[in-house]
Amino acid sequence: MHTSPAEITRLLGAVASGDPDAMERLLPAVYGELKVLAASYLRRERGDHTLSPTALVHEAYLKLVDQRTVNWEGRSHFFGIAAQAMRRILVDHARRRIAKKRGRQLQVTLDTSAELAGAPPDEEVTAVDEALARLATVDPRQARLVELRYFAGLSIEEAAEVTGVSPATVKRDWALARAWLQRELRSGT
Amino acid sequence: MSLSADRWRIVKAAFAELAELPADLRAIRLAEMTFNDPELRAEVESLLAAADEVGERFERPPVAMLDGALEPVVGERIGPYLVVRELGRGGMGTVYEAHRADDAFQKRVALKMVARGRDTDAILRRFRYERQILARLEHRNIAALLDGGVTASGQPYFVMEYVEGQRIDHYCAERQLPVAERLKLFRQVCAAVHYAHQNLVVHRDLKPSNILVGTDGTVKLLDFGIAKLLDPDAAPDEPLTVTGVAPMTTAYASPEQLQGFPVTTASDVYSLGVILYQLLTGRLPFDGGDLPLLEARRRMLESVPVPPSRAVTTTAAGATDPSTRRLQRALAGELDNIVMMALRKEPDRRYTSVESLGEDVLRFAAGLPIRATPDSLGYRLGKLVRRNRVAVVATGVALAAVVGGAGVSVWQARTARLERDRAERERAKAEQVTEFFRNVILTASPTRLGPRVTVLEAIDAAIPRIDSAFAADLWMRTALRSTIGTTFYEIGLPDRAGPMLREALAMQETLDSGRVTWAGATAIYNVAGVELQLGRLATAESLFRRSMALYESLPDQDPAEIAKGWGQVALVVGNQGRTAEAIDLSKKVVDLLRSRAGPRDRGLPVAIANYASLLTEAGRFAEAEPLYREAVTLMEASNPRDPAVGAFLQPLAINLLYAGRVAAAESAGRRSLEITEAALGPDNPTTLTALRGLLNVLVDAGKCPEAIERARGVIARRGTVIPDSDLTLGSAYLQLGECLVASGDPRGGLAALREGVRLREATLPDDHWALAYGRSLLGMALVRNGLPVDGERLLRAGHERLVAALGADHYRTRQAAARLAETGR
Repeated sequence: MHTSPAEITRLLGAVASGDPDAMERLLPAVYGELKVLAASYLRRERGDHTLSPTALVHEAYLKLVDQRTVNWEGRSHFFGIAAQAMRRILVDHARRRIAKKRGRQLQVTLDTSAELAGAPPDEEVTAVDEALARLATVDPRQARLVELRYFAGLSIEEAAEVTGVSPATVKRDWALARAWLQRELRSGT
Repeated sequence: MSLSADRWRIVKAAFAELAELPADLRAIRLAEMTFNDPELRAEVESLLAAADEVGERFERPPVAMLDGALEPVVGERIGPYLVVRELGRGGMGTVYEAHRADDAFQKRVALKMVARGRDTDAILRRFRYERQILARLEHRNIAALLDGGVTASGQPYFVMEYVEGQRIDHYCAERQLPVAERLKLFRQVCAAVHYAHQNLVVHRDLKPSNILVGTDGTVKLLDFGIAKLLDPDAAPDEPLTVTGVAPMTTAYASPEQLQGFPVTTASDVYSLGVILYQLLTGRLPFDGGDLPLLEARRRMLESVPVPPSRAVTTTAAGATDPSTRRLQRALAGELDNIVMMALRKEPDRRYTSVESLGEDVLRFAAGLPIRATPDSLGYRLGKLVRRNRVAVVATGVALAAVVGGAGVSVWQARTARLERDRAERERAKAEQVTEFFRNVILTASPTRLGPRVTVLEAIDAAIPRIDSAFAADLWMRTALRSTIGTTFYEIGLPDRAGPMLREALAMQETLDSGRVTWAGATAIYNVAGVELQLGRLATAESLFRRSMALYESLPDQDPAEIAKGWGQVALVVGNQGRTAEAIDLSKKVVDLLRSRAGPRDRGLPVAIANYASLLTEAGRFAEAEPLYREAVTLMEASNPRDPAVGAFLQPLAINLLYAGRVAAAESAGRRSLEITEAALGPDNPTTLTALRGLLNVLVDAGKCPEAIERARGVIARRGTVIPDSDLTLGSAYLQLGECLVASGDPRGGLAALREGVRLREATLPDDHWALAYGRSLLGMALVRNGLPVDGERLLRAGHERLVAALGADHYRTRQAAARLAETGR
């Protein structure tokens, strides 16, 4: 279903004023758009661009939100939601690939090209996802930061804008989050 | 991992501190922090160790893992075509070389597969609609569209003439072509784009990868009209000239495309400007590089690129002349001007057509003087000042008096009598202001401000000095910002007014420190006015309403003044299409003013006329007419030659015309023009509006010879005193075209109507009925020119829009219906 920029912008306003239903309606719209955009990136239609989640998120923002009426609060909410949507897309994808790999058990897989190209293994993505769920129970803000940085690829400055704290704070929190993830994933796998 | 939120906070603080420390200090400090808490110590230590080994892990988003799995198509059959090899991937899909599988001669074609994830049905619908137009584009520099269809798996594709060649930018760089040769190639590009524009096709995605040069040096443009076909927002029945589309390639997109505004031929002019810039300098005017898309976009919208001559450096790719300096010299001046004129942000300040851009390039090559002028601040302000009749004065005190005297805003002037002591204070301050501006002008460098200074130039020189000149006087700093801001606003520079007035508002809030004051309400009212000028109607409305609430809560306010403020709100509401609500509000304003306004108060007739025009908008002609007449009578009582009388007679004329009373409309229209012209001169916007009304009436009154003459009179002033954005200009072309067609010159009529529609497309929202009206006229002209298919399409689309916007019974709708019926189907 296509949701108009005006409607998205309105929903962002509703989210900002604390309406939980608005969030429920926004997430699928953003999720859908990001998937379409990701699919088009995959076909390498974007010429010189390399596939980057932050470009996807920005592009979704430009397409979905009426720039003329949204304020910075709405913008922050949008990026927060888009990061959640990216996380869902990537984790779903990783799960599917893991399932496929299990399906052909003993066959030697040549399916490593993506990993060689710098993509982390699917298992890392799902492990980060699970670790993040635990982190969210003790420190939701930190978990959100990981979502923004790791899944949506926002820069320190952008993440600072979205979370409403200073870049210096984001930098510190991010360093700790990475250390924590490193330790969790090491003990987990 | 079991960790409480409290515990985690402690860990976090410890980690933050320790991570900053060098290793030796770290151990000492860690011991101090955790000397009786070994658990904490272990926790923090393990995290620090993890931080040391994590390296770049998690820094790269995992999205790259989605990569992979591309579908091979080579060797497959797509429709009747056999795919031979992949040629490349572009903004909209993958292009393959193919040939017809059933063709003995195996003629090569380029087959473009549309990317997945797009709305296939809509694309095909549009394709069926547009293919006739696209197929008719026959030009040596345009790759022909041959066919199109959908694969077995439901993916749309287009088939185009196969073009062997190299991208124009690579071609130039590889051969190290001199500037003159590059310009020759560019002129071929212009010729092709101009030809397409004449056929109502806008490319919308011009970029080097869509422009190939063959070995014989012939340029071919690819993908004409394709961008439109793939536009998810485009309705199938719209001509290719309109609608916003998210640009396929940001670097070449015009500001209006980036903002989602209607795309016109002027957008192609902009893209051509980017291409020319790139051909001459080897770089893009705005290089987004690694910037986030939003940031890159902001820059493209807000900043002016470095002129080509200054963009050339030793590293410029493909700069061939032996020395960069020579290239710089070749570009400086005229070529800079040509490129920069094409790259202007405002569509109506670029070249008016691709043809005139191409011509200027040719004139440059031939050593003739070019038409592009440098976009200096003085030029720009000069033009605005002329249009707005703001005094241009010789250096000196007179200027300071003008600016100093403007120290009271409209609202301030109106309510000054309610605040006598305040007015006293302003008089004293006005002297300081005068002195301030006098100093600014006298000490300004003579090269920056010549002997003749415009008010705006003086203001520009003054702005940076306000804060230091009045460091100890916040009230003064606020008042000056407010004055300068309202001056910008009143001469139509909302972009400049906005920041000033917002600053003034913030400072006023400091001054008021929570109290409701008249000045505070006015500061909000002023910002609302700017928002209105910028077209941000919803914001304007809410600010207007906020300031009105404040005014109403103040003691001793004149209810008539309050009512006038509400009249402004009514206009904003009406502009947002909420006509019924605006009518209600407007009626209340009129009622209140009838009982409270003084006999000479112009506010009452103005409010009545505004109310009447809303009724006209709603099609309530019979109710509107007596109101217009009342407004005219009231205004005439104070001065029968007041231009406002003429201004009220114009909508009355239209109201009468729509009510079918053509003779009465003609007499009102003539009086309207006569009065405004006498009071304001022939070039004033109000006079032009009156002329527009009369032109409309003349055509329907069957007075084409006069209409033609008057329309030509308007067109002759185009560019000098009448900007392209003036609605009267578009009207003049439309009425001229309608009359020419009616009087047996269908070709001349068609050209005029095309231009009229193009101008309206550039100024009106796409669903505006006046645009539909123009398209309907253009449709008729196309039919008369032997193009019945396209003509009927426009006639039909125009009529449908008019029905939707005005109703089937409206005068204009019935005219469009009659035209449609006349074509025989």
